[in-house]
Amino acid sequence: MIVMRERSIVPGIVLLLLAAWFGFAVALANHYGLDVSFGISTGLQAAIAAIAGIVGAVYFLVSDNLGPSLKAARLLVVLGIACFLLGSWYGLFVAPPEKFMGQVQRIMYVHVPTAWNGLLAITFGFVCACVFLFKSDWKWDARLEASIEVGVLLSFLLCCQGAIWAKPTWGVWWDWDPRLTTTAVLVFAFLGILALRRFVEDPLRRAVWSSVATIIAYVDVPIVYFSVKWWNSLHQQQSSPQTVSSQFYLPLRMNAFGVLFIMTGFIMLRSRIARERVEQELAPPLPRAVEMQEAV
Amino acid sequence: MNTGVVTGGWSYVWAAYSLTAGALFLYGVSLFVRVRRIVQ
Repeated sequence: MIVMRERSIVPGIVLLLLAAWFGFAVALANHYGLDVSFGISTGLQAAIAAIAGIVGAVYFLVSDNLGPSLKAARLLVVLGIACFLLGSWYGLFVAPPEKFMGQVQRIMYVHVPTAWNGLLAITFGFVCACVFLFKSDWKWDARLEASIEVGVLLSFLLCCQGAIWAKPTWGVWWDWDPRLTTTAVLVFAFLGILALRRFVEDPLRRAVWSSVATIIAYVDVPIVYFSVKWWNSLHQQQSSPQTVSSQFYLPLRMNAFGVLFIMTGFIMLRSRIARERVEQELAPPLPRAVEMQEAV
Repeated sequence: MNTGVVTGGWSYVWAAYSLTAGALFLYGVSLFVRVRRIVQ
């Protein structure tokens, strides 16, 4: 039986919601031309909202009282869907088209949040792998499986959205450019780790091997991020709040927090499924008499 | 004439949003169903 340490989920949820509220409020104020900077630059405001959101999400994920956490995870997914729908509606119908890319720039409101949260999920998986190797606590193995699976899903979606955006702007669906190639390597590397977990039956070997593989594969994440700076790339360099029009902030932030909420809820739910599997594998076999009694 | 400006392209926008929403929806449903089975 895995022993769960009691820790309140409330601080994580509160921090996550406060971060989202701060991000939306500042973006909304900027949109209507109100000065709410309080002497803080736009970049720093975005960084505060993002860091608070990430800290809240991670705190929520590592606070494991199963009953309330599952309800909160479901609630977070619903809240994330609401944010995502609202942000997408704003991005599709209210925000103006970009000067050169026109309507296809609207793909940014779903592509960029997917990229941020995909890399965040994989980074959380990397942390889980390191903690598991040091603490040998099965909770971290379950969290590793969950975060890698969600990270692979988001990274795969990222590649698909990128291909759809590339066709009208670059004229091709795919190009072996550094950013695209390193992202494809990321997807296949972590997909391989999920396959490894599927095929290894011994739970301890599975956990150790996949933790080590995750740490090795994670080397690709900084390469993905810096690829556009290190090499000549068709893909544009990272934008910053100084280089993005304030009219684009609101849908981008709404969708970023929407996908963050959905991702956090998904990881929590998926880690519950993974933990159930480990619990069953580690449970001692039932005595013969009990087995027969249960069969009757 | 090539003006350097992309015109049209709504079909690509819809494709990207539909793919994302569809994939997240299907994965979400599979998670909810599996978790419900465990809890029961």
